[in-house]
Amino acid sequence: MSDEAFIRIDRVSKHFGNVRAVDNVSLEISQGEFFALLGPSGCGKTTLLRMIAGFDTPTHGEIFIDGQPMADVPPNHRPTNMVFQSYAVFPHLTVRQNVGYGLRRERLASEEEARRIDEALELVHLTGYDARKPNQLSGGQRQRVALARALIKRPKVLLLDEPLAALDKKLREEMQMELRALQRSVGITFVFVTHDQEEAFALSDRVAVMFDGRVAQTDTPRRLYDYPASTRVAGFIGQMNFFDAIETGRQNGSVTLDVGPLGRIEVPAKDVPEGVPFKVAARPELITFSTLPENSHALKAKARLRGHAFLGDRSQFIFDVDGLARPIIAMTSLDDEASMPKDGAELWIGIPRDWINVLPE
Amino acid sequence: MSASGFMTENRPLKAYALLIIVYLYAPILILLAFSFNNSIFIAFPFKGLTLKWYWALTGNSQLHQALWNSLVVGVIAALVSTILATLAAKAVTRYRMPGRNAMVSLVSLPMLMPEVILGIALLVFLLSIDIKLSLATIIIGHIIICTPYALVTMISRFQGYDPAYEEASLDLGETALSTFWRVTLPLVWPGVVSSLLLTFLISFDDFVVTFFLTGTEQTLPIFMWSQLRFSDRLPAMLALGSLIIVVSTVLLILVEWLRRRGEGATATP
Amino acid sequence: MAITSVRDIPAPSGSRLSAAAPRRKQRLIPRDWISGYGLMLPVMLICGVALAFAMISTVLASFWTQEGYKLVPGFTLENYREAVSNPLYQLTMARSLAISLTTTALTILLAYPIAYFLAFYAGSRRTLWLILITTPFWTSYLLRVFSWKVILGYNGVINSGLKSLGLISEPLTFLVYNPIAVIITLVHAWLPFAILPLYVSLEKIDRSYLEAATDLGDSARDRFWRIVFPLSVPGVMAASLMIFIPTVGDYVTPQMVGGPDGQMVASSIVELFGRVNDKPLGSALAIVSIVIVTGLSLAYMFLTRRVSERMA
Repeated sequence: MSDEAFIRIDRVSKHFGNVRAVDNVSLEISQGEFFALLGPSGCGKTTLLRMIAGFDTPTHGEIFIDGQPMADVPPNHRPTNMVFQSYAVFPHLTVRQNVGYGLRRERLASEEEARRIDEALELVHLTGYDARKPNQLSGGQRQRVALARALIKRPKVLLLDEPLAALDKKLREEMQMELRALQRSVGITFVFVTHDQEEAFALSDRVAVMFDGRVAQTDTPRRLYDYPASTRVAGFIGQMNFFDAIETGRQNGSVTLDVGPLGRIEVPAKDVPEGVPFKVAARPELITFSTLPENSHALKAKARLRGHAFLGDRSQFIFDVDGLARPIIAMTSLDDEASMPKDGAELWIGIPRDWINVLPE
Repeated sequence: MSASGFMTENRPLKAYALLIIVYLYAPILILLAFSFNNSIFIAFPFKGLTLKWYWALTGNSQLHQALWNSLVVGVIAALVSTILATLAAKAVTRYRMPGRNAMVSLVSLPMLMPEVILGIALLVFLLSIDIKLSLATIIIGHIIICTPYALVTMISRFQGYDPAYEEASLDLGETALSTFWRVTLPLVWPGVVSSLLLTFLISFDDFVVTFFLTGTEQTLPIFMWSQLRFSDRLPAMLALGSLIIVVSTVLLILVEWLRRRGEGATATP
Repeated sequence: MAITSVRDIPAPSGSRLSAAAPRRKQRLIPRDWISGYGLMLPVMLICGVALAFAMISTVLASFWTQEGYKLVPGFTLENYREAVSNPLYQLTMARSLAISLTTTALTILLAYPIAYFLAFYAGSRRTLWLILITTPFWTSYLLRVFSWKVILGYNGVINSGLKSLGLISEPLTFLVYNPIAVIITLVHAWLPFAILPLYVSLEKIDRSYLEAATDLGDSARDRFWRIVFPLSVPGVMAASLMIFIPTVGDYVTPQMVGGPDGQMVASSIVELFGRVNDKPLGSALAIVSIVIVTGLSLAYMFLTRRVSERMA
């Protein structure tokens, strides 16, 4: 990451009446980065994107692109272009007219304009579709038109609002790969909004997770998954088991936590948030189970298998532990049906030392 | 939908619907039939077919003047009210400024009050500022009664498509004005056409408000009202009425067809 | 832009992100409000201003007096006293309400089954039916009313038809120039307009509700009263107001087929502006009628909401 942020969002808020859609958000995005805004619906991610594009004006704070303040720049003069969630491919124009729409302002010679349109169509593999009308295109093709139409403007930043939400699952996966390759080849900064964690992870270099108008955490996908900043982030990104814990002692920079029926662990004091409630957390795929207790495991307990579900590439197991309010979920990729435990079986579950997180609520 | 199964046919209801159609159409068909009757009396028995009542219309210069006035008033009222409504519909559907519901309610008032009262209110206003009644006052009155209908038509058209189209155009570098010409207008065009036709027909047909605002120049309905008192002129009026009904029905079917076609073309799947 | 003002709000201390402190800006009037008001301006200048002034002048005139052809400004309640207490106006007003309410009720009763048929049974022919029922009725109001005079008149289609069949020797005089003739004509004129809002509200009802009701054991009759009718109440309300409001003030129909016993309040108002030439009294009578119409409409809306809430 370069030192100089390419897009700088500085303490930006947006109020709609009494609702704070975006609440004091600061973010820095580098040049050439593929950046995701991830969050549940209503978290303010789309509003933030629309403020970068210029369709909404921040109530407070300021947005800089390439060092320039954007406050007084209307959308048609910003170095950004957008791919809309509905694609907004003009229904009364052909594919070619749609792609060339934004070139009118640039007053190019007609051969130059034609060359640019051909290039853009080629970039999104739509050569030969020039004369089609949008209602003769599939959803995926409409999206390519929207992409070509935005990229032909050679924006400094491409904004994408839920770019894949309107596509079916198989097409979505294909387009993920294609978008990623496209971004690499054009080298433009991409900022996109999604509610789908897998999509955010598959596409982006960094992800900002948003809840209730605020950014909860900004990090690479791997670090977000392994080191979530709070129970809420952890719960939103994949599955997570949470356990209540009580601090029972503190000495020499380490803290002892009592995790109820699972036993006690010692963790470095710096890992335990101070002054706020916290929980101990572990990902389902890191929970092991066997007929005998594993001594090396920091936390362990006797558990009864309540049920299991076969999910194809992996299986999910649900355990009850006496004294725990909620069941524990474990995930394995066991493929040997014979070694599968039977429902109702009494087993030992354990969590290895290194894979335990202590997260603030 | 499959032809058989749950709630697909109801013969008594269908028979009732046909009966109502007969009730609705009978008076109009009677008018049409008697406009070809070779008798000055609109009564049975039929005296034979004739086109002379239609021929009589061709030589009536008063009628021609009234028809011309109606066309002028109708075209101006339709154009002005549709332009006003298009701008206003864009404002209420795309910008959330305070007071827009109050403004829409004020403009829609003519749909919510008896026409006689609207007519006298406009008359009292015009008299109080010493404006002489003329075709111009009729045009103002017609713009006022046509605009609510134009507004309803245009608002539903604006609501019928995604505002992202206009945002996309701005995003691609166009100004607000060029976006209006390149994106908004083509998308709302079917609405504009049906609003023009609808408001023209409303203006062309209006009697009550016109009745109060008419000076010496008559529109067609005012002319007809004056003629209906003379029994010897009734057959010619039947011929005129038949022509108006047939022509305006054709126009209305055109409107409906355009509207449906417009909805089909820009519906986003 | 000149209208927008920019003021600086001090950034909170202690939270500096970078060396360049951001200026926090806030517009007094947001940009899109200005665009919105700008686009509303033409319609407000032409229609809004004219309507507002028309209302105001009528209200003012109703407190004035008239000498000869000149209106004399002043303040008197005499016009209202006369409009409310004169038995002639009481009679035409009462008759207007009676005729209009009867017309509204009859029209809804006749229109509902058609709308129901269109919404649930017309199938693929639905558009054809809708065009057939509504299209010709957007035009020629005058002629459609006149056609009833031709049909019901002393020497009209019915009388001459019956006479030429030898069934009667003298014309039936009860057919025309009475409130019944007015009601028949008004129902005919407004029926197509009642069908539309009813159809729209019925058409919106999801068929799966009806299937669910049947699945849960409802008969066709139960299904109608428990599901369809309650959900169509907004349409019934809209349709009744759409008919009630214009028919109370109808002028053409009573003139054509009402006769002396079928005159309504609009005729009185028109006379006051024409032959009688008492514009202040005419204005007062117009305002009294619109107050009554608005009051009844609001009461009706309120009651319908209450009843449909209780049903739900």
